[in-house]
This record gives sequence, structure tokens and C-alpha cells, in this order.
Amino acid sequence: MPQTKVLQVNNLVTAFRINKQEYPVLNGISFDVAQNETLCVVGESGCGKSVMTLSVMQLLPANGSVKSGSIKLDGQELLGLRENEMGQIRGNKMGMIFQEPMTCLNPLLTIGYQMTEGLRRHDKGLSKKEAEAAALSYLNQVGVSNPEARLRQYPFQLSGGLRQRVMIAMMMSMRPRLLIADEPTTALDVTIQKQVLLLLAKLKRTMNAGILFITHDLGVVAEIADRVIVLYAGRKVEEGTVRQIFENPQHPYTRGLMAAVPNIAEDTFEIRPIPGSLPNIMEPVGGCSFHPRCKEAIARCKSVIPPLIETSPGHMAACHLVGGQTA
Amino acid sequence: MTSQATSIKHPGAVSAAFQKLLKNKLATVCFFVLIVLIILVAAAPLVTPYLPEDTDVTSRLAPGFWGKWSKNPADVMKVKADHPLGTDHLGRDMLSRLLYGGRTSLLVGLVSTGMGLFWGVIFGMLAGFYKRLDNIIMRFMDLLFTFPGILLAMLIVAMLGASTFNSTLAISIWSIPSFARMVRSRVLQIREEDYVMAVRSLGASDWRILFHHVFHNTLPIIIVVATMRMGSSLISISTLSYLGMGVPAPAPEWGGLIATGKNYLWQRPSLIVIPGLAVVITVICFNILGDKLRDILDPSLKD
Repeated sequence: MPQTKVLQVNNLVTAFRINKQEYPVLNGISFDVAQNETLCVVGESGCGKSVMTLSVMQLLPANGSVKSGSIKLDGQELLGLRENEMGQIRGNKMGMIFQEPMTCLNPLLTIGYQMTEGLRRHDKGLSKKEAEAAALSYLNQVGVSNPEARLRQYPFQLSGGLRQRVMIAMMMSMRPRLLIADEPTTALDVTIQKQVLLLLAKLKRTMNAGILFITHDLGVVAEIADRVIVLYAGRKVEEGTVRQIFENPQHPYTRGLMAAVPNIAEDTFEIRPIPGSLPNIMEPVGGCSFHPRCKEAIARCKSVIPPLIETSPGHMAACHLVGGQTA
Repeated sequence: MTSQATSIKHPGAVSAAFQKLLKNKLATVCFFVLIVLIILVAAAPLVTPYLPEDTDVTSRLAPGFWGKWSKNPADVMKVKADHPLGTDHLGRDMLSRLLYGGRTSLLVGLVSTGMGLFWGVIFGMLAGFYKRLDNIIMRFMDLLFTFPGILLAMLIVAMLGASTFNSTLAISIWSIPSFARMVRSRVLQIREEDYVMAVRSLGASDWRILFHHVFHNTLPIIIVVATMRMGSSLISISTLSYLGMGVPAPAPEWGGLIATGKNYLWQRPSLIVIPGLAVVITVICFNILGDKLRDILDPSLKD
């Protein structure tokens, strides 16, 4: 069934300026997120996951900029918008949850102040009292116990899980169309992690929003994702439904990622890492950027960048070895 | 409900810091010395019957209450109960001059610190937050910094003429760069904090981030710098007055009192010892207080 696309990203190129030279970090990435869908982005540290979210939010650090491509939110082009127009969209139409809940709240302001601040900016007619009532109901919805007291507390009085819930409540109170979660569970322990994931899934359903979920935890992916894209060195190397990716990974990198997760059922309990590391963005690799680490690499991998090939409906991989296209 | 609403707004950090301050004996003493001083100075008309400019030709260069124990019978004769700190060469009551002079000194210190703080914080926040303004603002601050402080103040007074207002202005201009530097360095740190990114992702404007989130977090450092600055401003106004470039005579000011008293150094040393002590004690108290406040406010408050 065709669903409404909340976010459509086309051929996104983001570059960073280091010593007066531009180094592309994202090389033409395309993806979309539909309503009521969770798209997980996986890849190892430094592959461009976070840069991707920051590009979408347009919160890149000063030396980074989007060079080309298009980012459409509900059909509205975001690139080229002025900063104050972007400010209207951030929070209102898309919200972000960060990795580190411990540092994402202003330590000197109460939870209540920080929550009502956003609410009242969002809805100018809201009185202080109404904003507080709304904040209470959102805290209730995310399962914060004793929300009345929490409103009057400072962030240091809250645990990490609670702070992440507060962050989620804050973002939720803006009722965004798109939720961007950048490793929201990495800093939490496993039980809290599960609760936060369930909460996000519930939110997605009740608000009919799309979720763009960044993680490198494949367990989390299996739990929450509808579709998955795999990034490597700023390129999308594979895309598919969560089933397709887990049951039939096409790209050697994806297979490597899967194999690297220790299987608790096995006796040996061995970790099999992918040898080598990501190429330095300042010394780009010709051809497929994965070829120096790829066990299956062939001559063509060193010279030609593999295109994305659809191997089955909705399942794409960028590798010369898929789709019977052997050299 | 209103009380609840206001309780959300006020950070409890200030009162918490105050409680910590009172646990430190030295800081507590300094704090109360300053409070007593401010009360005395504010209530000067109740403490002394004389105005600072009232002359009493029958009693010139009288010693204070300590004259009673003097070995010189002439001194003992001169002691008057209503001039507890003695009189100067025109027979003006020293207690009145000290208290009314303290009004001027403290007020000039306060106003110049306040003005320096206001502009310093604005410049510092803009320089720290906006990279393109950073160089322009901070190089200008460096320019101000290259002048030895009192020289800069003297230069400004020399250009504008000696008056209480002009010397206040001069001292506040001199105060701006120290505030700007401290605030800028703090803002540079805060700007990179996750919560700034988080509120930005919730759609907050630059203005809102600067004045609601960044400003709150610079407050501890502003309080510390302001307290220390009060001491230096006091010294500056006293120095300027001593050199005849501050508060014009005959209006009393601590530095000015020392300047007139120095001519009678051998006859009546109390004329310079008393205002000198007043300056020293006040400045030391402000500095110790600032120092302890830094211990309390600087490293903590993050958690």
C-alpha cells in the first residue's frame, strides 16, 4: 500500500571544510521515511549516520554544509530555507532525541521551565498554567512517575532514563511529523532501553509520525525497524525491510556486521570483527569504498563505484557481486 | 498555582550557593562586614549629626576618641564627644566625611561595575556565540586591555573633565573587557553543550538560546567577576580622587580624604589611616568574597 512519505531525501551530499578544503562525508544518499514507519540507519562509527541527521535538521557544525541534493519534509523543500524558517520547522514538524540524555537538558533550569518554554513557543496563546498542565500530561504519557514533582526538579535530580523520557516528552509535546532519534538508547542500560524503544513505537502509532532511528546496535534494529538502510563511508550500501536485511543480507559489509554480533546460542561465543577500519575522509578510496576490507573484492571493485541494484522488491544493495552481475 | 508557577522559574542554585557561602567562616565575616558597612553608609544621617561639608573652626585637627589617652595635654583638651573620629584641618567631622564619602565610593563602585557588567556581558555573549563577531569585539577588548587600567581611566577623565559621573564612566569602560573575556570563554564552552543543540532542535531562536539558556549558565562566573570587580573599581575611584581626577572636592570620597589628610600626616595621621583602612577593609572583603564565591560556583553547579 502506498503510504504518505514524511521525509524524502534525494541525493544528499554533505561536505566538511577542513584546512580550507572540502571533504564530502555523505556522497549522494537517498532515502525516505513514510508515516508510521521506522527507518533504521546502521553503520559503524564515523560512517556518516549522525551527519545525516544533522543535515536533515540543518544543525551541522559551522564547517559542515549540504552541497547538493534535496530534503523534503511533507513535500516541503528544506534546503535553502532561511534560519528563522528552519527554526519554525524544527520542533514543530520534526523533533530530535539525542544520544546523551545526561547533557541534553540545561542543568540550571527546572524540567517544568524547559518543557513549558517549548510548548509556549509552539503555541503562543498558551498560558503558563495551560502549558504546565500540558507538560504534565506529556510526562504522564511517557511514563514518568510523579510528574508534578518532576516539573519542579532540576535535571541533576533525574536518572538517565528519566531524562531521556523527559527529552522524548519535550519533543513529543511539539507533535512532530518526523522523529529523529540519534542513538537514543546507547547511554541507557538494557531494561531502560527496552522501555524507551517501546515508548517510541507507541508514539509512532499515536502520532502517526515517521521515525528516523540511528543506531549501531543490531539488536535494537531487529526490535524497532520497519526498514533498514546500511551506510558505509557516506554511501548507502544496502536498503531493505528489516526481514530482507536480517534474513538475506546482500552486501558483504552488511553480512560482516551481522557476523560481528556474537550469537549467544553458539558455544564459542566468538566476536568476529570486520578487519580494518573506515577510510579516512581526507584520503578517499577509489571504487567501492569497502573494497580494502572486503574478502570478496574483485578487480572491478577498485575502480568502479558499484551502483545500487534492486535484488528483490524494496531490497537494494550497492555491490558488484549482487544480482548476478559478476565481472 | 501562581506560587507554583514562580517556583518553576527561579533556579534554586542561588540560594544553595548562599548556604554554602555561610558555611565558610571567612566569607561569612566578609559578607557581614560589607552588610554593616552598607547599612552604616546608607544610614549616615542617623549615625552622625554633621554634614560632611559642615566646618567647625573652633575644633580643627581634633583627635578622635583615642585622644583621651594621649600624652599630649593639648590633644586631650581637643577631644570632643560629637567628633568620635576627630576633625580635619577645616574642622569637618571625620566620621561624617568617612560615611558620606563611603556612599560615593560604594555607589561609584557599584554603578561602574554594573555598567561594565552590562556591556561586558553583552559583548562577551555576542563574541562567544557568533564566530564572525568574535574577532572584531575581542580585538577591541584587547585594545582596551593594553592600557594599564588606571591610565585608561585617567585618559578618559582627562578628555571629559573631572566629575563623579565621568570617573564612573571611565572606570566602567575599563571594566568592560574583563567581563567580556570571562563571559566569552564561558559562552564558547556552553555553545558546544548538547542542551544548546537540543533546544535548537526544538526550534528555539538564537536570541532565546542566548538569553534563556546560555545567559543562565554564565551567571556563576558573572557573579564572581562582578564581586572581584567591585574591589578594583573601589580602588580605582579612590585613586582617581586621590589624584584629583575623581570626585571633585569638597565632596568627600575615601581617596580624596587621604589626599587632603596627607598634608597633616605628622600632626594627625588618623586623617589618612582611617579612610585608608576603610578602603583596604572593603576591598579585601570584596576580594575574599569573590574568591570564595568562585570556589563555590565555578566547578560545581554542573551537577
